[in-house]
This record gives sequence, structure tokens and C-alpha cells, in this order.
Amino acid sequence: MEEVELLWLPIEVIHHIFSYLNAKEKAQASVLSKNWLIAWRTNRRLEFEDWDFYKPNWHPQNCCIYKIDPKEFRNCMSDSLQRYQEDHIEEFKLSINLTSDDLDSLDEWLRMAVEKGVEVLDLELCADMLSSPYILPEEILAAKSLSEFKVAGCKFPKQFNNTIKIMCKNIRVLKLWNVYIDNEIFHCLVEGYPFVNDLRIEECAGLNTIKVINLFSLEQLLIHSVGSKPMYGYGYCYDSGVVNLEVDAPSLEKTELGTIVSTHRHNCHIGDNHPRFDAVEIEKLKLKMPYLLFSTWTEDRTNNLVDCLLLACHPKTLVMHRNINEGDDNFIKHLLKILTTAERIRNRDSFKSLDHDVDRLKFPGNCSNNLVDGLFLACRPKTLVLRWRMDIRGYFIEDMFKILTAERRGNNVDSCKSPHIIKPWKDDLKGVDN
Amino acid sequence: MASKGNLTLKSCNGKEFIVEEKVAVMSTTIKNMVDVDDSFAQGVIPIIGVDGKILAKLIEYCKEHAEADEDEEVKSEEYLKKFDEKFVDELNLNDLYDLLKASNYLEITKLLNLLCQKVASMIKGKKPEEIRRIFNIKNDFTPEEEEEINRQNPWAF
Repeated sequence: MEEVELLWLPIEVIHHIFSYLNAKEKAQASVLSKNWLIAWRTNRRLEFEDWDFYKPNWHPQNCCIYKIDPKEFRNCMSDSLQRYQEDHIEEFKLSINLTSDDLDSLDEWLRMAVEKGVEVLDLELCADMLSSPYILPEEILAAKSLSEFKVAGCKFPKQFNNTIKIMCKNIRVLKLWNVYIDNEIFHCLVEGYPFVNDLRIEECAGLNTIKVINLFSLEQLLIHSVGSKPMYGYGYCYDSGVVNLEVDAPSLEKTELGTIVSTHRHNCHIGDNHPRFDAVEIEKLKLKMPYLLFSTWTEDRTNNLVDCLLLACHPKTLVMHRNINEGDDNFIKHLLKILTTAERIRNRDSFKSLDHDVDRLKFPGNCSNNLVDGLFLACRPKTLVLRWRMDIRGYFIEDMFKILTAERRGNNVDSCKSPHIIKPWKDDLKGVDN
Repeated sequence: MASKGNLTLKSCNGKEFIVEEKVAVMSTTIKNMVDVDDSFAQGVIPIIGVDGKILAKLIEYCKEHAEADEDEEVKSEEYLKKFDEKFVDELNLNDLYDLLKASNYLEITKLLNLLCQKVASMIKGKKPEEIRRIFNIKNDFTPEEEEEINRQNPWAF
């Protein structure tokens, strides 16, 4: 008996243990003893996943279909919320495949969470079974208690009721994934959440002007697959990409820009206004534009995008996700021009810092030797990361090793026309790992 | 009497430990005590409800982590990870419980996270009876109560 008394844990420690368990594991642990049951019922982090309610249904040919009784999950969720006596909710996490019966109760659940001062709201909604997407209630967006707001699979309201003013100074994390949100509302959010430090917009539709401005605390920014015209179905399709992109965030440390420049077949939609970047201290810049067609990289506006990015951000890490083929000379020449000789850039101060700040370069497997040489000359990286697919390992890597390890400095290096320029970066090299 | 930069911690069974201040303030509770009242920094800080054996364990953990925070070269992340693993693996059940309570009371967040993660990993994928046996938890429900709880959450079982 004494030992049982000895092995007793305070409720708050059990709550802490719960933070490492999923919804089902927590419910299972609640039957261990009265102490654990109380901990479960007073846990301020509420988590509901309808996946836990799917049951396997075996068919004769050994195939298994998971089925759910929607009512069972809804009842269980309502019961738990009714039983919840605490006056505060720390975290409300819901992952649900919506049916049309759920919409009213969902509104109600969310309002309850907001009333109880929810801090972390994480909604993963799936609207495949609905004829039109679920529209978030306005007051959720204006909930002052929120510090993290992650939402997927729904639509933001078109406009706000005049009485609602968004000003949530606690919000640090905003993640929008697979949502429909238009320019105006997005702008309201940026204005209303001034202290966001982690902003992610992925696979969102309705948005073609992204202004990330006046966010002085922003440290991480990710924009990926965002476009203006939604086509409803499994997720959204993007017919045209972001037209205007403006980033002005002085404390940005890490940015990942994905297919902001989404293309539809042969058309590249960069828009008439060049993207303007005012971020001055980005440490990491990723150019990830797999869908951009090469022909559009030539003398048109897309070059300006690259220029702007490089000039404005002084990236310390440069990651190129685009496989550049030997034949893609225009782009390579252009990059070289920017990074080495282009007069119009030489004159700008911003280029100077690019010169010295890059300490890590990453390449896709197949890119041109000229490009590599050019980048080396301009950046003198301290670390070089090469990634290649096995099947295209061939000539590029061999050449690389030849250049890096050859005794005959500068002689016979056919990839670069002026061997004496190569010397500096080769001399700085400390070692080559095979 | 501890020299400057050192603090003296006293366990509930009277054992005294002299530790560097940077080690002791890994505990937010101790840090707050020292910050608020200077006399604690001079004299002896009583650690209520924590015996010498557990306090020694706590200090061992805090020392490694405080040193790692100061000098990443000597104690790398990898080294710490291995230390943490070994630290939790060597605990018996009583020590685990005592350390959980002590790190909660003393607000040593890193250690509390580590221990809770350990407990969670021991719970995952096991049946209630099994968990009760491992953690020596007494089932204090009446059969009626137990049935009622199971009825409320049929999905979880």
C-alpha cells in the first residue's frame, strides 16, 4: 500500500506527459486510475481526430476499408466538451472530415474555444464531402488570446462585419494551408497580427497580391504554391500565380519561396509590377521554382525577380532547386552577369555584401560548369553541398573532382576561360570530401 | 559557506551540496529565489521534499547541461543526447517518479521534458493493465466506474 502512495504524480506532471501522447493514447491512459482520469478531464490541451474513429472493415479478398460512423465521433466530442469544466483552453486541435451536419456544431465548438481564451488553434479540416467549403467565423480571426493559429482546408470570409476589428498582438505563428483567402482579408490579417514571427502560406487560392509588410518580428516566411484563381476539388489549382509580392521584414532569418511564380503551361505570370523586396537580413534564400519554363528565363521580367532576390536579400545560403541543363545558357549567362561583372549591379552597394556573405552553396546535380565557376568566383563559399541523382552523376561530378583535386592548377580547366581567376577560390579550399 | 559564484543546496534529509550558480539556476525556481532575495545566494538554499540521492541526480544532470550551454565544442549536441539517454535508462521506477516530481517543483524544464517523454514512450502502444503493472499504478476505480468510463470512450479501446 505504501508503494502505491509513493508512486503518485501531480496532475500537472501528467498533463506534461500527455503533451507527448496523441488523442487516443491520452484517452487510454485516462482509465489507469482516478488521478489519471482527473488529469485527462482537466487537460487544457484538447485534441480531437476523427481518424481515431475509423474502423477497419475487412473484405473477402483481404482488402480493408476503413469506415467511420460520423455520429460516434461528434457525440464523443460534444460529450467531452460538455464535461470540460475548466474556464480556460490552452490548445484546441481538431482534425475532421466535415459533413454538412457538422457545420453548425463546428461554429459552436470554435466559439467555445475562443470564449475560453484558446491560445493555440489548430484546425485541419477536410471539405471533400461538402458542396462548398466551410467558412471560418469572423470572430475566430479576431480572437485576442490566440498565439498560434494554424488552419487548413477552409475558406476565409470575404469581408468583415464593420464591428469586428482585428488586432491580435499575441499571435506569433500563422499557418495557412490549402485555404481560400482573398487579398483584402490577407492584408487585414497582416495588419492585425503585427508580431507574427513565423508565417506560412501554402497551397492557398484567392491570393495574388501578397504584401508582407510592417511585420517587424517576422523571422520565418514560407510562401509556396499560391495563386489567384481557385478551382474547387481536391485542394485548389492555381491558374495564375502571385502578381505582386512585397516583403519588408527587417528581422527575417529564413525564407522559402516556392512556386509563387506559378505558370500555366507556357505562360509565366510574373505580372507587370516587379516584385519588390525590402528584406535586408535574410540568411537563407531558397529559389524553388520547378514549374518555371526555361524559355521565360531569358530577357524578360523573370530575370528581374532573380536580381531582386539576390540584391535585396544578401543570402548567406543559396539553394537552387532548379535543374539547369547544359543547354540553358541564357539563364546561366545571366546569373554570371549578376554575380560577377554586370555594371549596373557592380555600382550598387548591395552586391558587395553578396560577395562575401555566402558561406554555403548547394547545387542540384546537373548544372553547368560555367555556372559553378561563376558562382564560386562571386561567392567563395566556405561549404559546398552537391546533390545529384545517381543516374546523372556522370560528367559533372567527375569534372568537379578533376577541378578540385588537380595538381595542375588552372591548366587545362576547360570549364573556365581564365584560369588565373580560378586560383583564388581553389586556394581558399581547405579540403575535398569524396 | 559557499564561495562567490557558488550556491549551497540542502536536501530534505540534511545533505548539503555546493554547486556553481550557473548549474543551480537551471532550475527556474532556484533562479527566482536567488534573483528576488540576495540572502539565498549567500546562505543555504533548502530544497524541500527532495532527498540527497535525488538532489545528487538533479545536480549531475544540470551540471552536464549547464556546461554544454556554455561550451558547445566540448559537449556537443550528440554527446548530450547520449548522456540524456543513459541518464533516463539507468533510472529505476522510484527514482523516475521522484525526479519527475522534483523537476516539476524546481522547474527544470529540460529534464521534465526528457522524463515525460520517457514515460510517454513507455505508455505508447500498451494496454492499461500493462501500463499499471509497469508504473505500479493502483486501479482505484470500482468495476461500475470502470465500465462507465469505458462506455464513454469506446473508440479508444
